[in-house]
Amino acid sequence: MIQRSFAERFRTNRGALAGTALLLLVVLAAAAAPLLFPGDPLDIVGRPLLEPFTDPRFPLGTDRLGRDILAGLAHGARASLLVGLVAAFGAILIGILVGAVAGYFGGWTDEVLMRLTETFQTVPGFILALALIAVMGPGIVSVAIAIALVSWTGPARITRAEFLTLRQREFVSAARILGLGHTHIIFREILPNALAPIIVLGSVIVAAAILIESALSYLGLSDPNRITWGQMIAGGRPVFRTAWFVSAIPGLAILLTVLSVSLVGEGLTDAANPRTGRK
Amino acid sequence: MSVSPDRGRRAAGAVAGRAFVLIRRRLAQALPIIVLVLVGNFVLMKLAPGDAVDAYFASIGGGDAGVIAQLRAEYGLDQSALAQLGLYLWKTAQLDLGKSLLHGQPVLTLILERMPNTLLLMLSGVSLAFGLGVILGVAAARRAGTPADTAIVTLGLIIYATPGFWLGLMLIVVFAVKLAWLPVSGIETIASQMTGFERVLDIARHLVLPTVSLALVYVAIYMRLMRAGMLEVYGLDFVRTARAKGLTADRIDFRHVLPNALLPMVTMLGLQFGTLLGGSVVIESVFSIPGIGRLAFESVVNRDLNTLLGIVFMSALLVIAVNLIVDLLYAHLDPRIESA
Repeated sequence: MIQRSFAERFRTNRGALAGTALLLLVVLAAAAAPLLFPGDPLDIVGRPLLEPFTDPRFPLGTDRLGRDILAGLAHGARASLLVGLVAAFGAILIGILVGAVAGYFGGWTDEVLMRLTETFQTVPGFILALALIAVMGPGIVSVAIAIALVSWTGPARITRAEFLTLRQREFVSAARILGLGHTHIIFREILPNALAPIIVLGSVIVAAAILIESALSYLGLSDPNRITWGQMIAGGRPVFRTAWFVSAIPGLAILLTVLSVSLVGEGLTDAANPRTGRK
Repeated sequence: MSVSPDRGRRAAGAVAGRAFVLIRRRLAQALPIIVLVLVGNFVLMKLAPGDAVDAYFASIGGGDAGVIAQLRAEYGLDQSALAQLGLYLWKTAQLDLGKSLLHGQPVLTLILERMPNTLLLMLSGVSLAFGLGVILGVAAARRAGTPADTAIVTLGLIIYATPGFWLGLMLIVVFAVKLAWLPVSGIETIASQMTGFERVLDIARHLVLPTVSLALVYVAIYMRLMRAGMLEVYGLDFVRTARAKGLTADRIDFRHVLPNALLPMVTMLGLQFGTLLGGSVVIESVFSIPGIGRLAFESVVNRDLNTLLGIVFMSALLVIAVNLIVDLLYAHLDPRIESA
């Protein structure tokens, strides 16, 4: 088989393309939310519980208090994406630091850091997140920090595994003989070679972070003055016997967003491993 | 590479001895983790604004300064941080998790009271996820590369992207509100005085929707793993030998490939247990099931840190116990594994 380039393999993957398009749409909605829907999405703008597709002013209807659901979706995308990305970035950063130090130095350092990693893996992530939020107080920043602190173990393990094999390689010995410091060897020599699998794992972590954020904000543990998709679902809860669309629509938004992130991640994995990816 | 058929002939004593070694080794590994969980809990307690006594007097609307100081001394809160940590470890070792500020009961009692509901939900969730995951994974692997395979894989991605709590709400709308086939919430009909089989059936009816909501994400995960596992085993030499012998596709798939592909799934059961326990927090809240998850949520809302940290500790113990059981099961299923 003729080897094709990474970009070409990604481009010919229909799922990855669909995912990219969908994700771009969500990013665009989030970016343009203040232009498309100026004003606070938590403001009351119309009659409550208008059904979708009945009033052209509110294409997706209104919620229990008469707030525009479509405007809520667009503004909610900001919170979901922001928290998802920031938390995932934080998780990967912590994971890289812990995994790199453990894998590079080995011995006792490795032993201690791996025990720490196992401890974080033993405590159920969502329950730990609740405990962290209880201590920090509810809010969007607490939610992002809590998600990052319960999601770093995967990247840490992968980074450590990469470092364990890479540190035996000749270019690392060469760097040592040149008298380069540990920090330089870890971040400038080894890390660039270890990044690919970590980045692929990144999409999984972003998807999971968006799902955890939605659950936490459904439980009312995020910022009450900032609209999120999870909060919109919770807002539909008291009326869901009669007006189930109020909860259904933001849930679909979460589903499609997470699906798009997963599809892009799958595409990246397949394109990175042309032989193993598509079986 | 197939699971060895002489397993039955293995001396029972040797198996028991190996299990004992495995248990001892796992417990030795678990001990530092348990201590680290407790140290983490202690750090969280210290980071929280105000201590347990502050929280208590805030909840009853203030108190006399002398009484406050006396209570602090009684709980050892006037001592150094290290001494307090020692006291906390010592108390927890005796399974004294303190009192819940919200309920006024010992935390351990609260947790043990609600544990059975959560375990029931998780057990039914794991069974559904495992069973359905294996069936779908095998179905996809047998048709690898065909449109049917693509459809199952895509379905898996969609299921994975579905928030469980939202699915739960939608299931309630369809099956409990519109069709009225199943109850809306709770673990059993309150004050119905049902007994025996009738009660079991009642609980089972209440568990259907929460189980599906909790399990569906894991169906996607197990399905994926099962499919990948089957495809990996297909490439091994003994499968080629089986084909060369002229065995039928069904016999190869179900007698040779499936058992070998199932083994890694067992490990996954243990690894996923913690996330499953976390997932039950939201599901129990959606369906108003009085379990540990709902207790955890109520504790956050009411700032009952003592109860919450007790749940963190007990759920860590539970995860360790389940993983030990899974390891034993694995060692039993695959005698080649020498408790590595």
